[in-house]
Amino acid sequence: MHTKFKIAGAAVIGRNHESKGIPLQDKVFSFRSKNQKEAIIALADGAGSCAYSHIGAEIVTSKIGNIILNNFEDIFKDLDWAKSFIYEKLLKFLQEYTLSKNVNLNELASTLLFSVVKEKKKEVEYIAGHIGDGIIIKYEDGNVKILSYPDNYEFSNYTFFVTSNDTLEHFRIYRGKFVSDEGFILISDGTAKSLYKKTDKSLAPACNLIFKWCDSYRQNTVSKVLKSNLQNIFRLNTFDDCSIAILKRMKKRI
Amino acid sequence: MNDNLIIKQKDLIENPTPRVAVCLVLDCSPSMSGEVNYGSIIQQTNPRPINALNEGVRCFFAAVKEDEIAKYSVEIAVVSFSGKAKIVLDFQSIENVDIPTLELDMEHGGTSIGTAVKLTLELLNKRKNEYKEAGVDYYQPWLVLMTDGQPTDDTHKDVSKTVRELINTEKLTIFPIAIGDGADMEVLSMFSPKRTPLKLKGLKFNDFFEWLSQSISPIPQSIPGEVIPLNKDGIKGWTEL
Repeated sequence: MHTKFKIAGAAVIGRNHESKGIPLQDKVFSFRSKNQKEAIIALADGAGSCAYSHIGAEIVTSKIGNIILNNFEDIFKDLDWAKSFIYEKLLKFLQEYTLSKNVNLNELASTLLFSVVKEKKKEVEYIAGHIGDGIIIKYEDGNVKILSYPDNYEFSNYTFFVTSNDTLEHFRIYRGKFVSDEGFILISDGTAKSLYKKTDKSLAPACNLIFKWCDSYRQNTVSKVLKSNLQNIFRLNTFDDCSIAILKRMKKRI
Repeated sequence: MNDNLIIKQKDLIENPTPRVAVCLVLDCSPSMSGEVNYGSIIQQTNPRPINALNEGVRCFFAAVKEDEIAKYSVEIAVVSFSGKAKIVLDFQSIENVDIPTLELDMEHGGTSIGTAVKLTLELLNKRKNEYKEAGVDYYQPWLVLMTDGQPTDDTHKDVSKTVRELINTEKLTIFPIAIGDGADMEVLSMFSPKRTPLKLKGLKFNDFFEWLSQSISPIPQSIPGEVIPLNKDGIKGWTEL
């Protein structure tokens, strides 16, 4: 069967957490259905001082894909309604955990970035969403551009989380259709230190390179390569955890 | 690993280091001379408060310069005040800074805390705008206010409301410190809705500024959602509780 989508991702612990013995708080999730008509990538960055934020990140990344896929048409049709719907669903999953473990909701604080694609009658539709910092990068016509910018409040160490009081105001959601071999990269703010130039809001050439890897290598190989680069290169440019996820629609070979 | 699979530095971005702006707002009114006039007798404390303050400020700059990470991130400005306020040192990289020596302002008597804080807020806003224009990330700025006296005008009444709002909306952190028994703790409290003003133990400026440098050190390494607790045990070393 022609590979329609490739998905890959990796996360590595940053020097701040490593020195303090705190677990990796970035989580990455990826899924591709057996018939390859659906694919999901999701990434979340747990809040620094929240004891269970790595759990919160795990919950939101693992649940967001099914929330979207099970309600894809409704969400695609009405993004305003969709924000509240998705938010409430995520909160419900987080609250289930708080009740079972007797922890406060804000201890599960994390950002969230996701892209979900669905093929319908040879067309591919996508829904993407973003709460907090980090960046959603879109690949189209052989070029990369930013679909969703970081939302950092004013300060470098402040952002918005899924559990924040004003999350809905800061929840950004996007929809569209792939025209050709398009794709997404999700990056956490730690990774963004190496891939995003704040002064002119531009992206590093490495972003294009990462998409090209998907053309040449199996997705498992791409995941390993991403991890190696995060570990040996990206994490030297920041004290934060680093994570990345990629989804690319593949051109059909004739 | 295949060389094509290793990302080169040239294909990455190098972003400027995020900055944390710290402004020291320091009382240099005549009472900081340590002279007490008993009519025909003038008693002089030893050391003079202004000298101990200068020593503390030098320690602070030296500690930040020695910190491998903080020295690229922390920017310090100094505002002195008595009846008037002036910028002794504007924000700049600490690497080549000439550490300022504070002098008593014998010309303008009085203690206009409000004027000093207003000037400081203007300085901080100007620096933040410069960061924004240059695309430099920054952390919440710090304001350290030290005084040994009571305000001699009402300028603190309006500006303290502005400061309280900034603190309540988490746009500023303040450390209000009283020097000696003459400082007005109530006025200092007006600037600090979340943190009780503390009184310096004697002239332990060195101990305070050492604690301050240790407190600021983790900030450049902090990440979103991280709360950096202050060293409360360390506070006991320089304050009268």
